[in-house]
Amino acid sequence: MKNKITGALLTLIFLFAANACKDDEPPLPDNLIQFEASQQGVPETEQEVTVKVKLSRATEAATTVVVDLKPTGITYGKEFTTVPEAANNSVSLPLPAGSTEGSLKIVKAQGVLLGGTETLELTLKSATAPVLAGKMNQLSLKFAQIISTGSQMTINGLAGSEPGSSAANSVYVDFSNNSQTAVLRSSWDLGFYCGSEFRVILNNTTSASAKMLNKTDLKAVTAADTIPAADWTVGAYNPKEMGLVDNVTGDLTKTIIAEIAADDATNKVYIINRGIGGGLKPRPWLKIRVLRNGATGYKLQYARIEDTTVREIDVTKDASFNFVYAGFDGTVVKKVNAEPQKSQWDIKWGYQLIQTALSPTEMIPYGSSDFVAINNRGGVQAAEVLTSTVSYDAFGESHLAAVQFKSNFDVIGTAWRTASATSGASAVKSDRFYVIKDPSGNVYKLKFIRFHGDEGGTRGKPETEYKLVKKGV
Amino acid sequence: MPLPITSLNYNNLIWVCFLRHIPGLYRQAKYSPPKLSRLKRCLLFIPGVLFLVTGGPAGAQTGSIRGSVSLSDGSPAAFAAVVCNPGNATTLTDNQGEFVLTGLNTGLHYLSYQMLGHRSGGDSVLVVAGETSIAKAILSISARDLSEVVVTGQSEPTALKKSVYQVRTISSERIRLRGATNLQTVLNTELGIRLSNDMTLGTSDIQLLGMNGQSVKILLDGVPLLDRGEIRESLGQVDINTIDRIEIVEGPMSVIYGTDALAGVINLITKKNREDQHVSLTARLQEETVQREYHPLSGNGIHNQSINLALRKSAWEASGGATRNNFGGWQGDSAGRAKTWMPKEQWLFNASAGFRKNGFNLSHRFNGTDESLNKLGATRQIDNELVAADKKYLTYRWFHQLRSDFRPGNRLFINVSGAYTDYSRRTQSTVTNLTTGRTTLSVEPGSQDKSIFKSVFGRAIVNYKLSASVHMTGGLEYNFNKAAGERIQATPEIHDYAVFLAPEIRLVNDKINLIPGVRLIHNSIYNAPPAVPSLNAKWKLSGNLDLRIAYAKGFRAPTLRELFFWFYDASHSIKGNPNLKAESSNSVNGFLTYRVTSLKTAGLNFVLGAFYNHFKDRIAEAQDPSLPTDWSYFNLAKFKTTGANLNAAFNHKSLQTSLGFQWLGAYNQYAELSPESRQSFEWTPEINFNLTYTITPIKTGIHIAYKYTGAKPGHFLVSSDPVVVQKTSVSSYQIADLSLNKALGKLLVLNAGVRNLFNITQLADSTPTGGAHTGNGSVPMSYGRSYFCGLTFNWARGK
Repeated sequence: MKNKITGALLTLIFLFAANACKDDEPPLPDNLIQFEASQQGVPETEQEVTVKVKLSRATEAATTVVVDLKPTGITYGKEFTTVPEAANNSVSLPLPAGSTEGSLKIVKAQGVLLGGTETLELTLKSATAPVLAGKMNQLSLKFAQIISTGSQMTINGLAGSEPGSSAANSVYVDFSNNSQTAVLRSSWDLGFYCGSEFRVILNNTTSASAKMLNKTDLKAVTAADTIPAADWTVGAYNPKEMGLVDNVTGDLTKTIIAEIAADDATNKVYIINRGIGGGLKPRPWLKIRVLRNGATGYKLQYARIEDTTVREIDVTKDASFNFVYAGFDGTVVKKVNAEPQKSQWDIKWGYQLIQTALSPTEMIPYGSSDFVAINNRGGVQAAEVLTSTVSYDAFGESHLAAVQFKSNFDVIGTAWRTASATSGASAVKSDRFYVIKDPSGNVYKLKFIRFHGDEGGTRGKPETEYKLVKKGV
Repeated sequence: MPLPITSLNYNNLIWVCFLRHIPGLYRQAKYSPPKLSRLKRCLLFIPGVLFLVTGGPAGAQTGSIRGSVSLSDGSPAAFAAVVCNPGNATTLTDNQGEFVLTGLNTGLHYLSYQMLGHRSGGDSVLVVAGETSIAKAILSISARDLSEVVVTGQSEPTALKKSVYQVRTISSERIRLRGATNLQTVLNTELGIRLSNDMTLGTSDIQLLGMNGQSVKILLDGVPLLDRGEIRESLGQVDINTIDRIEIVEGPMSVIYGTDALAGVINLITKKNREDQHVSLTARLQEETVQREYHPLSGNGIHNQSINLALRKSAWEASGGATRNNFGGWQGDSAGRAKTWMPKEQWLFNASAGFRKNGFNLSHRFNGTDESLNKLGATRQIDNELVAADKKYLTYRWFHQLRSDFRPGNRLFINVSGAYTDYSRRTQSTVTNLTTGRTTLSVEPGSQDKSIFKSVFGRAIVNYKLSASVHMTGGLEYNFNKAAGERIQATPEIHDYAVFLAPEIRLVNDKINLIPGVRLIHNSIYNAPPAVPSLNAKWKLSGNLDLRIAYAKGFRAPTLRELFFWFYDASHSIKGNPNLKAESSNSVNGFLTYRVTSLKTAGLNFVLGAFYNHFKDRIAEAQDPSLPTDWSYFNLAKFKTTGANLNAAFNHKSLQTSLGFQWLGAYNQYAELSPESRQSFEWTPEINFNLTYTITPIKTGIHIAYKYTGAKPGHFLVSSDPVVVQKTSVSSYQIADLSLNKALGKLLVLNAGVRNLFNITQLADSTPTGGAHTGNGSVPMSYGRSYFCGLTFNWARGK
């Protein structure tokens, strides 16, 4: 009897359990491999160019991608070669398991001068299953500076599996060249201005803060000088924090580090909290002192707080950049490529410090995710256009006359999206798009497609589309 | 198993066997004592003959009966009334369930037993001159008077009247008549209880006397239910079809039940298989609208199906069942695919097996929950394709309960219970391309989070009757908790050990009962309070007036989340604080119960209560002083609640009504910032009313449950320097449910009704809005007025 009871019950449970397990796990989306853009230029000055193929996510197994080459006006082995090597104008790119991208190097032959009409068409022929070729499976490589007519671009803000709201990268986008440059926010600590003034900025993408000490000898600075820590704290929603960070609009006359004086004795020591903004782990603080190095650059003296060994590094101004950057690497400061040349980027996407109102009378620094800053120092201007005026598709050169371009860094800012803590409420604002005039005078229209999981996207990887409206002169 | 009586006296044994074989006698004797006189006359002759045959002593004219009465679970039926006829000799059993009647005339006597909350029983016993006959009886629990027996805080089932703790019950009849498909519906009209709903997570929490769920202990047959955070989600993951009644104790019960039993305890008592049924099958089918949204059997609306089978063979019993709760969601103000109330598909399983013999009882019970909440995203046009991002919250709760009672001697009663819970909640994020119909998993970091919680619980309670006036009750408890998830650091494990003692001391002829209690705790992670004391007293002022006064300290251990949370992103820097101590409370309450006994056919009683609770070291999120950019949990806040309530219950024949009033005061936490301008307590009145009326001739029952909850004042800190506090208020509301029950033949019961007659959906909240985490000026309460109709099938075969 007992066995019967148990048997009946087990059957009953099994039937219900079987029914309950009906939630089949949906598959992962297709893992697509594609080029970053449909056009890419190789400036005359460059000897080689790297073409990247990007996967939507890391591969689970080793994958081989075949890229076919179709040269026009040039021949493989004569004017150019590739790494890895091509056979019959076809390159096999081996991607080990776990890869998120692959790259193909195109190398110009020594001494070959290309006239600018030559092209190389690359086609993603195939990839090992389950990886599939995506929409952007063709790339036209021109051996000249190109002016893109437009493309779609997924901005790659994620460096790993960090939450998209605290994406680890700052991403610089150059529309005319269809290129993006991702830089780890934590890779740099100081930016040295390359213009006529001698100014040093703090990292506003890590919420770094600094305070001047009335000392000129780094060796005289000890841990006791870091007390109270609140004097370097940004992110506790306290209005006095506005006095610990550089002016958030980028006004170089209002940096925490005073203008570097020609007279060394005037240049004081600063203690720098490298910042934990946007989900960064606390890192060792620094003590620094910056001097002029003649008329051409800076001399940075630095050490960790407790260190008595003071090191030095010379930083030379480079007029093709807004700033040259330096970052701590262990105990040594190194120069870092943290921003492309000032003529080679239009907007910068990523986490950065702006300000917000704590109360009607008080402002506080505020770390904003997904912030889009324009390269106003490089001459970029932008404007917001509401679709109630004219749609993105319809917008053309004739509409430019009515556009009032602005140069403030936050013309785009975060006005393009709604980020909400309420699940399901975050989305790109589809009622607006942007018009951007690049350093060469090319005008692009830019719209955001999606940026958030609520839209089926991935936060930290906003999808954009831009089109050339008017070529620069 | 012989039901009402077993006689060990040789003579009586013969007689009982003999009487049992006279058709109809046994049954008649049991239920119709008045008719006995006729039977008695013809039967009295027989013992006389027998005596002659056996040569019984002549001369002695009287004899005695010594008996013992126990309850169906083997425990003694203390203070049961025993009436012996003819002669109408009456007595009460003692606390061992034993009684002696002396000076009885020889011959056959009929004994009837009565105990509140139990089915009256009786049988015949032959009294032999100069001898003592033995009678034994077992009383089974009566379905009708069930509310009168309570188990919460008791070592054994106790009449409500006798309980030293003030226990409120929601009877099985009320649960049944309510036609509810979840427990929240039943609790919603109780005084002092308020439900809150989180529309983002699809969870609902309970507030008891102004304290939220994490200060309320939810028990299933005395065993704690696991909850992953501060929300008492477990309440919605228990099958109401397996619940017989609900017992609520207001005020701390931490000595016996440990952590979380601060505001009170809600003990869900499961249905027990009936002793007199071999096989029973119960099935239920119910359809319900969700306001105006309804589609038969699937989709919109609520669709509830349930089946339970119970089997019994001698000392063995087993049961199993499953319930499906399918909630189609509620569109509300949402547009397109999105719904204001998330659709929910819930499967609830249960299985149990038990053995019961001679006061020994061992049982295992399994409760399984498989729940899927479906959050549908809005349709969005992305790059010429229609796309929707959806989330599913998949919850599994596997809950095993082991329970054993045994009495190694007359004075000793031991109860051992254990539980193991395996719980997981997963967020499954998907993206559906509505153009192609293809659904894929989201690859966004953190979008497929899974939290796992495991807990082991063990408790042994020993009850030893030291003397007639001192009953020692003590116990040991062990708790183990383990968690893992993306927002939890590592996989923390917590061990908690406790010893408690709560002897009952009876003074002044049992007029005063005192239970001093203490619990000693050791916890492997946090600094547990060294000792948690309590003192409960019941004073029988007169036959119908009881006073209960209690002081108790309650505590709430920090949760795993508060200790080990870890969430860092652009706008959150929150970490747990392993240095937390427990929240604690000091509470006093008093209840005066008055029963009007002068009414002949009606029952009327009043309970007047008052309470004051002071909670300190409440755990709140705050900036970490050592690193002001980070937030963590600290023992910061304090809170007080106070209030008074008056309940009246009136029963007359088929009418049962109750009317309650409560005046609840909640502490204004900003009162101390600038005390002169603000009062320290803000008050909310509540009124509830219940009516049950049975029209026996047409087998129909009517049930009305009503509750008015007054506006709930609150405060909002506009600015801290200078202090500007703004008064806020959540508007008042009324909940009323009406239901009808009608038996269709012997097997079927039809029920139908209206819920939320006043069509409450949300309450206006004047708290200022804005920012990421604040409300939208309203508090979601319900999806509005809805209608239900259901059928219940009950079939049983006795022995």
